[in-house]
Amino acid sequence: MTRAYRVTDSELNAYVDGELDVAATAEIEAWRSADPNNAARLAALCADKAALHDLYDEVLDEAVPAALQNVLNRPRVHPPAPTWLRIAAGVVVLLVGGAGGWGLRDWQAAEATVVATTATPVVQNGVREDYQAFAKRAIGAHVVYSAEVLHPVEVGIAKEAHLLGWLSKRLGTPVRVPDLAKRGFAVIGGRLLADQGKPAAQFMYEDQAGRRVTIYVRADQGQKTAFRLVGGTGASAFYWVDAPLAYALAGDLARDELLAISLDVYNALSL
Amino acid sequence: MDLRQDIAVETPRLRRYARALYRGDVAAADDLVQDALERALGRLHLFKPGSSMRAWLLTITRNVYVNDMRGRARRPLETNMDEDLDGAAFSHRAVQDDTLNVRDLNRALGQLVEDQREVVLLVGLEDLSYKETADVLGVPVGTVMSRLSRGRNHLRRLMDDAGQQPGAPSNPLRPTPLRPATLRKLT
Repeated sequence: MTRAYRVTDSELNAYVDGELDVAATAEIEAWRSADPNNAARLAALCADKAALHDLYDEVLDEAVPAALQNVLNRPRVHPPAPTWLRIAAGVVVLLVGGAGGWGLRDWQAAEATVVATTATPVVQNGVREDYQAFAKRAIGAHVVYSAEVLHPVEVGIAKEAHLLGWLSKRLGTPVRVPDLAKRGFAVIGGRLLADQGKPAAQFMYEDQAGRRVTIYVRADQGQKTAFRLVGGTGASAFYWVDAPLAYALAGDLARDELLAISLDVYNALSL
Repeated sequence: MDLRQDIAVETPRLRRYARALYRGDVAAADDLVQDALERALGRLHLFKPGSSMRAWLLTITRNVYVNDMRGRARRPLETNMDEDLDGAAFSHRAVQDDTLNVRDLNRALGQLVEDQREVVLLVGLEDLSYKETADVLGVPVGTVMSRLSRGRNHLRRLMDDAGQQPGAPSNPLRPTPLRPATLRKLT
């Protein structure tokens, strides 16, 4: 991709905020690679966003003060609305959700579609929250296994055919290990994990410096999504859905590098 | 479905948002959250099932905040908040900060116009989607995007300026600011 590509501030922000679909994300990525100045500009945006979290995230770990607890624990005053009214209101929300949306992002459409085909009421954000929880489990698995010195993987890459055959069979869909040599990472091997009672696979990569990233996948027929970032203790992860698999790439790397690797994984596996 | 439980789950996030709106003033922030929670619990019957509890609570919090700001318009928040923050609130924080100065950021947030600050916080801190942010604020998504761009550009410029002041710690790692020619001048 060598064409000159002019991006607007809004597009850069949308990229940083995970609002772009996969194709638009790839275009920004190409623009980013084209010039170190572009990369610096993006990195600065990411850093500024991260700084806000650095500044205020500690509030989340504080105990909720008694005064607020008291408000929350006060006996209920208003009876819940009748069931038929809740259902009617829910239907309206679904219709509005389905009609809304914005060209640059697939998320809203994906959510509305999934929600609309579900019989039971679902929190509007439920789909994203579900994948966020998936990504958090990927982070957990990353933190646990990437710290392993002796047994980081269950089956080494020396037995690649066995590894991939086994995990493909357990997940019920073919899985592959993308080549991340361009980013300096080589695959070590993989393991089978339980993801909320369903099989998931984790592939571990390592670079020259001993840094490790893991790809966490499970079978998933959900709507295709954009990349989204979730932070965790000890690592963060980008996650996305590209049926028949849902992916999370976890590592203790800068967001920019993590995203670059995620894009490589996506490109390698979707072509 | 226990809505009260859902509200309790969101409370730490409301506190974070409020803390950022008041730039670290714990008492003012928790007063805001308390007002917002009481209002939400009193209007639980207005919550639309199937919609986002988080967005609904943030909408209420934001509205209470806007009313509060109108009420104290003659008493600007900036007065001595920065001194407080320089001292106690963030003193435990390590000073190895690699890209930005935490204090600079907090001060810069305080200098943003309200329209931009709330978008920067809802998207950048609360991780709302642009659509959700637009719904919270009752403005089109395009407006969210333009306020976000201007807000973030302004924020970065303020921090760059702070870094260049005499006596302020210089930071050789800070990337050269790249500003689009179209950046609107904000005063």
